[in-house]
Amino acid sequence: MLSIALMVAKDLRRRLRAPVGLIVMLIFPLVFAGMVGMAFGPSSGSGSGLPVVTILMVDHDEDLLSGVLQNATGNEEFSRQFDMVWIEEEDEARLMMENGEASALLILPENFTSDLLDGKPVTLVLIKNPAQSILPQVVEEMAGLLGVFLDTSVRILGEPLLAISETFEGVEDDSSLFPDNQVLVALTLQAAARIRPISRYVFPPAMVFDTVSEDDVTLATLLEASPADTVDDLRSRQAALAGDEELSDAAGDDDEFNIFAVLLPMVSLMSILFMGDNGMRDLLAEEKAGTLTRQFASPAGVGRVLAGKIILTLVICCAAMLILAVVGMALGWISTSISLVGSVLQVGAIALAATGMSSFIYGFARTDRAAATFQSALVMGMSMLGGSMVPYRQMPAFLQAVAPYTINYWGIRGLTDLTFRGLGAADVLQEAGVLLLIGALGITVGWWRLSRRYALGTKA
Amino acid sequence: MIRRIFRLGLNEIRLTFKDRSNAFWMFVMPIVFIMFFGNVIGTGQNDPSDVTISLTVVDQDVSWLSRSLVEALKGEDFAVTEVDPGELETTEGRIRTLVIPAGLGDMVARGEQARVFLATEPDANTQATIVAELHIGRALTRLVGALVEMQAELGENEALDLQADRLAQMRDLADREPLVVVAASFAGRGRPVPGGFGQAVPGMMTQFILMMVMIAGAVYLTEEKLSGVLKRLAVAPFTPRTLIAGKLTGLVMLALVQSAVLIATGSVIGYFKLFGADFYWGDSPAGLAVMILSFAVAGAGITLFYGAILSSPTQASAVSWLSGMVMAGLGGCWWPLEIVPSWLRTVGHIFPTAWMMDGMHQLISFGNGLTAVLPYAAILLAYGLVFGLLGARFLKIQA
Repeated sequence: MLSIALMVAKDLRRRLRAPVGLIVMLIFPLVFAGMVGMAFGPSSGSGSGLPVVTILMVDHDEDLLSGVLQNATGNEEFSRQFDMVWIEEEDEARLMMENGEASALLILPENFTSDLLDGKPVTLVLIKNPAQSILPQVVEEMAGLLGVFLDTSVRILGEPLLAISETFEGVEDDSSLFPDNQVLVALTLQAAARIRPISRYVFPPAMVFDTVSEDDVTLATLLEASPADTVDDLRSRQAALAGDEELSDAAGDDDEFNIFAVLLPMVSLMSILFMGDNGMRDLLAEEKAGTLTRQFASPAGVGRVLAGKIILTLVICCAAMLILAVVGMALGWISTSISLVGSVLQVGAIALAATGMSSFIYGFARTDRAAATFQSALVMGMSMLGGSMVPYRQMPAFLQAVAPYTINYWGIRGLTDLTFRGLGAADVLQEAGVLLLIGALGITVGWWRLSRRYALGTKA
Repeated sequence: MIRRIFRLGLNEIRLTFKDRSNAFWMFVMPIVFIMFFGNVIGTGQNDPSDVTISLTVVDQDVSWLSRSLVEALKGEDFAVTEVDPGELETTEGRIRTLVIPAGLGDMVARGEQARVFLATEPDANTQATIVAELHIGRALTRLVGALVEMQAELGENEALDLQADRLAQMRDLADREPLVVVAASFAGRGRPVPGGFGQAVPGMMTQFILMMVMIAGAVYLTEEKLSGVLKRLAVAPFTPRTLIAGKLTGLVMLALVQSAVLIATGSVIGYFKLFGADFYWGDSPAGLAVMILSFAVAGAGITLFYGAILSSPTQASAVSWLSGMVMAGLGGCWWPLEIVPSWLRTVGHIFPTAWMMDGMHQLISFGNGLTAVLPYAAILLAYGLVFGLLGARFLKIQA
């Protein structure tokens, strides 16, 4: 046993003398999670999860409704999400779109107000930026919402709006046309008469909706909700039922979605599987260099040398995961109150699975280069399908069906249960069990192949 | 002189392909990545407005008002799946769930504000959720508008009886021709939008060209430095300038060979629409050639610089790999830069990948030609020139 420990320590010292490869593998998940977190995290844009959307507006109407629209879109709340740029010339706006300077261009047609107030259908022209995907769609949806709002408003308030429009016609050019107080009072009364009966549905709106993450408010709580509840009511009820605030604390900072607690496990898995290559590659590299033959000739024998390489791989993978977890906690990406037993179980299982995979590959490989290439391709493939590159739930159904056949799937599932959902050791037993099984199988087959090969002395 | 440079360049390519794993990473993996991300990002569709968002609905109210809401949601391009509360936890593929609480209809009838809840899975796609929220907002606006209209018809003195079944009336209102229509189209003449293959094709090609040129080039250069091959070449009838030019030419040729094979393979796969793949490179072969050549020059310059300043193949491989990933991510190869904050967009344009992607979007999304990509090509050539000069300055090849 001591001789194996000495061999592992010697190999580790050798690794630490040239640590660049390992360091890069350790930095990668942190850099990747940082990049994606910056791009898509809650603090990445206007607070809505999207950056500020630039919309070019061309007003050919210059009448009551376009004026109302211009004022309405100037308010602070709206400006936080949308940057409305009013352009006088349509050609200039179209040229700006061709240069990709905005997400969309919305053109209010001539006679927009008068046609609408006359009950004639009007068409808003929306030109979208073809080099963008989601933002033009958001603008299109918003324009649709505006259309519904205008449609309803005109159908209900058409008469008073038409009266207002006619009364103020030409006032901009000739101030003497400004209506006297009597006319203004009459207009106000007419509008009020239309608004009063409907006000119960509009001020405030009769129906609204709130979005909640299931991590924040559970489905069970939602199914018990009343339409009078607010999200805060639901959270309080849930906390009261739970008896403490364990659930919300485990997920990270209060109510904020912690994207890093999801991303770090995803990318870490890919890195750990790549690192699994490190220990086992030594075997074939040393075989090529001739040093393996000398080791086999020593009293250590084939068994101890193989055990040393397998334990080395295991130690590297465990150490890497520990470092990633500590850095993740230091950066505030992972809660410090995650289950220790669960984490040790899951990390150990992942490290064993990575070692098993590597042992299996090197058991069948003829050269270290062939093994490294195959291992890289396999890790990339499993990372794609298992949720290291794209979250499992965002993949098409046919790819989701393949995911459970990868180490990444079980590894990420267990880790996110611990880091993101705040669950405990009992909840990751299934994931850890599958990984331990994969690891044990891989190591057994790899050991059998390698010991047979070296015992026969064909290579050594 | 030119002949010697060209021969040196050809030798670089020969050395690179001597290692068969390089061919695998240069030609096979990019195609695999394109197929994967093309299908995963935007489910392979080019236009995200074509993508239907799935929504699970639990209607616990079952009043005419809640049924109207469900119908309005169905009219909003949602793939609505209605489930009973008991089946909710076990419903497969559930990502976003709209819960309509019991008592919604009664509460609205009493003139009180009622609330429905959209529950999202923690790892649900944020952008799709935002679009879903807009859809739900529109359905609710439509519904409130219909209530208002019904009430307006009755006038001030008569209250709308919301306890009666008004579903049919609501349907009539919803079936009317809308007064305001939005006619949406795309600018340019290209093929929008950078989702699905529209994003994956230029993105992955850019990433793999840069990474493979950097990794293979920088590793061989550092190996030659360590083994003394560079010094030996310096005593051969090559001037240092010829040697450096030869190295750069080899790297550019490597990128061009990779691009040509990827474009040809992609075109064949796209022609047969394998796995729904849709490879489109724009309608300007000249523009595409200029962009690829300029990017190859930029990549070659950076590789020479890495090869000059890094001391071992392990370092070269690791730095090239990691920096390649960072450049690809921040440069817009993995996701369109439009969806990141503006400051990150600016940071992304520090790297040549962002300029390459901008140029490729000009060709592919806007359908523009050679003239439109010249500014981007010029910037990429400038990268190549600056890093090439720095590389030449730091590379020690004197015998």
